[in-house]
Amino acid sequence: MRRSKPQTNQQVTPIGFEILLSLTRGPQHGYGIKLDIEERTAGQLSLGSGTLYQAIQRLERSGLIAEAEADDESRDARRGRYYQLEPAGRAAVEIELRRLHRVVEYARSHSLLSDVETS
Amino acid sequence: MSIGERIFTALLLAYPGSFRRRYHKDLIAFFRAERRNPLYADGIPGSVRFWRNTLSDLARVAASERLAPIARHLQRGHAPRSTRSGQPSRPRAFAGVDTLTRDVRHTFRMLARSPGFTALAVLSLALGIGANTAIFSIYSSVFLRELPVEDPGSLVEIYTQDSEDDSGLQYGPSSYADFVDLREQTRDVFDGMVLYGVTVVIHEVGDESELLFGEEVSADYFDVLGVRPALGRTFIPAEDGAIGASPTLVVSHSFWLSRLGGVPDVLGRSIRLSGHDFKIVGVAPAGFGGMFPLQVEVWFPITLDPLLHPASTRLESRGNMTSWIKARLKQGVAAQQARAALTVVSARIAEQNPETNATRKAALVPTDQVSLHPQLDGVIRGFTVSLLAVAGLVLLTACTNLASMLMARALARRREIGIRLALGAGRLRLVRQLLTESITLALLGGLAGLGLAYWLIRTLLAVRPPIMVPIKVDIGIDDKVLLFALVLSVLTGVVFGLLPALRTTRHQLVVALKDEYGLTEGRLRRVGLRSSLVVAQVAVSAVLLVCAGLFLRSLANASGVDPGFTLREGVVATLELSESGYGAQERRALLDELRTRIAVLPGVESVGLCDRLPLGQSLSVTEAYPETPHVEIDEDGVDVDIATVDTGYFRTLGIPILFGRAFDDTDRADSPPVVIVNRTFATRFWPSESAVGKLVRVHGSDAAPSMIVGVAADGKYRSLGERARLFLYEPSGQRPVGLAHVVAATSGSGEELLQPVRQAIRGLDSHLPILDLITFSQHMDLMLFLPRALAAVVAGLGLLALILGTTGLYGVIAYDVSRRTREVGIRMSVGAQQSQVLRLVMWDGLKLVGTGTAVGLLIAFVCTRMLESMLFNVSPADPITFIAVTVLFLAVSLAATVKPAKRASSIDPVEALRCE
Repeated sequence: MRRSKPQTNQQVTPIGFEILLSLTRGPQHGYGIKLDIEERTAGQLSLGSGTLYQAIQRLERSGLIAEAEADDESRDARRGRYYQLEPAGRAAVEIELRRLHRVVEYARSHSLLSDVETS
Repeated sequence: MSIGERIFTALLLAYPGSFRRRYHKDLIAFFRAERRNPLYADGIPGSVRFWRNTLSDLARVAASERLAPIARHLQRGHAPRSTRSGQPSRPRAFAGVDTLTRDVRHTFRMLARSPGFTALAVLSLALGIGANTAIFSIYSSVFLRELPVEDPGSLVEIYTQDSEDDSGLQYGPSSYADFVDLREQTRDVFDGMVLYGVTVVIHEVGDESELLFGEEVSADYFDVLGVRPALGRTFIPAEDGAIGASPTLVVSHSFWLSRLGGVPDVLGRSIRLSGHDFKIVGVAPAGFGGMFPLQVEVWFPITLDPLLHPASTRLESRGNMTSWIKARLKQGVAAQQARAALTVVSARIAEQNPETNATRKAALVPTDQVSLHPQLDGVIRGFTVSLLAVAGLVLLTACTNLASMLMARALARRREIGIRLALGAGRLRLVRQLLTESITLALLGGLAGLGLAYWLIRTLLAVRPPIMVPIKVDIGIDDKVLLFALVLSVLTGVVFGLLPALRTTRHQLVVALKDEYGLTEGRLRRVGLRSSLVVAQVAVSAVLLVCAGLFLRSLANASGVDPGFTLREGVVATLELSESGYGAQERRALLDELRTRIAVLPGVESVGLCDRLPLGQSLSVTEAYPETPHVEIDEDGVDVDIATVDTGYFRTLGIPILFGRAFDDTDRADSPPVVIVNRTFATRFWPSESAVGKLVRVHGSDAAPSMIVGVAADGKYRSLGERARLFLYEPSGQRPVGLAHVVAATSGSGEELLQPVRQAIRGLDSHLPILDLITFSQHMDLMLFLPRALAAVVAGLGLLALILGTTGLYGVIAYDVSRRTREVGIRMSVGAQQSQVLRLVMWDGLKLVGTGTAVGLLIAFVCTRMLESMLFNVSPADPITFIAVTVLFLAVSLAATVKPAKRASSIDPVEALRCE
């Protein structure tokens, strides 16, 4: 399978991708991200604090996410810092989603996913 | 901050500084939120899962963050490993549990291959971790104890401060009357105020009786504290009002399980306490043992106090300050506000009761700032923390030793490791393998240490402390202690394993394979670090050994003192007669009958009675006015220790009567009062003539004079270490006794006499409360309890430190010698003699020990002064102890250096040079 190599690809790990995916819904704090991922993966992926912030650190360093400004009154400062997607992060999510989409299309057209096949 | 959070915060140190600084707050916030996750809400199993997940996450990320730079370097060009399908992806270097399993298996194979090393390592770790865990469990039971009540944060302690009180107690207990007034007048700031006092009651079942701790409480005690009964109800306000109303009580959960079979129909049943029937109205919840760190088994309304203690003035007298107060702040009321209100009210009470309360005021301290008592906390905390520090030093010693041993093993394994590196094993992989080994060792050691700690605590609690009531201090291995041991073990494993692991895998491949390990780097710096560790080890063990030596000498001195009586084998039964419903006349008849019955038991040589045993816990002092021309007696008289004894007492105890006679049956209530004095008393007031026949007024200057009929030999009365003391005996025929010690001397063993004596007492009156029934040698053992316990604990720690220090010394020297093979070879090839090499190596060892010993002795010299009050006839600077410790260390260090030095001096220079 050929894979295009976009200029912005930062080698996002699966955990990093899940975090990015959570932040597409808006700024969120660390524990909120964890809960969101747990909900989305039906508890399959449960992150510990170290693993989560290790991944956050990488994403921050790659410029994919950044600390969100604390302008919102509803935010709870005791929860820790809030993070938001940077343009590069949004792009990375899109690239990864497109790649996954292609993979799924391929799988469908070759009937590799018989049990999940939907219209 | 909760204890768990504190531990977590401390563990964050495992992360690299940059990561920690950036995410510190976030990690803590995450931790807090996760701790409340309903997933973990099912008690201890939940806690275990929570900590397992938290710690494994922390360990994994900390290791990968720490080693990330190395990992990047070493794995460049390697093909990424595949992760197992279905497994959530982890950082690549830590892919999968399978590697861990492999590592652990490999570890067990390695450990099984060298059982000697494994045993030694596990044993020394077990000793270190065990000692720490045992001491921590004591610390935890006192300071990390959470009061088993609802919302402890809003509770406050209320104490009575009396400026006239010169006992130094600034936070004293309060009287019931003061409590009632305070409670009435502070309802605007408190949601409730409770009073409780500890008491000892005798629980009677059939012919047996036992002493229990109970709490006398105000009726709303359980309600205000928010303690719901497991069964039945707690007290209702009506039980507070009527003094001596129908006796009810609440029993503890453990009492319910152990004495009442844990059946639900106990409500309404009666149990007999101190001669009265009490109706059980409720069972306290599991784990609730009252407000003191004691196992309280029964609670009853304080208004029943007169029933249990007819002579007590707890309820009426404002002078009887024996109860403690807690109160719950109203919502929104600050402690400061409540304090102000209390001050006003206590001033008002003082105004209304000037004769008792003029100098008193109420003091308030929030409950969460108090563990046992505001004035005691600091002392106890200091004591346990310094014990913990000593035990920590011992553990550190064990760690450095193990690091030395691992270092030496690493030398032996350098080829294995070199080959594995050459075959492409990542350094990270090898470090991980080596760390798995050391942490596995530490966990094994921790497990054994936990067993040891459990045994230590059991032993400690089984030892009968020198008091009559059964103390059930609530010390045990709970989840906090387990967590402590676990964290300690893992940390230990990392501490003693990381350095050798990094060192072993650092060297270059070619060097390792060519067996030239250790030649590429300078020697001095690292040896310097290890040497100073040895010096520290030696110093610590020197301090401990000096302390141990002092205690041992003190113990030997104490055991050798002549107590002034000759009785060794016998039995002491202690009976409380004043609360058993007997009048003075009946008491005397009862005791007479009892003595007769005991006297005919097989083996009994004589029977005596007294209200105070020499070297016992009770103490009575009175004023005496000897009518003597030789000494000026002022109007306060002289303070003398006093005991009431019967006719058989002197014979039974084996106290010689030097002049005159012992008491006999003619000394009756209707005959002229007589006394016997001890020799010190006689020679002090009649230095030049016989005291027999002289007069002395006892208990007051207006008392009728008693005639001295005999002079008894001096003895030790309060403690073995005391100086000669004035002592005076009164006959039981003229003064009734309340608390009675019946002493029986036997020609056989005291142990065999216990049961017959118990039966004799029971045969007389099955409800007579036996406070204590022990052999006489047990009674004497109590006197030596403290010196023995101290000597045993400190000597044990000192010995441990000595063994660890010696093996550490041996390890350092042996390691050093093996690294200096080439140097020694060169020295010898240019003409150095064997003996010179021997001297060189031994001198190196002696320098370390000499420095360590000197430092240790100096510290000991400064510190042992603090022990002075605990020593018996030994100066804290006792030269014999100091010299003995010095000699011991020199001998031990010689022994430790001889073997490596011999090996060094027997090196064949040609071989040494060739092999390098």
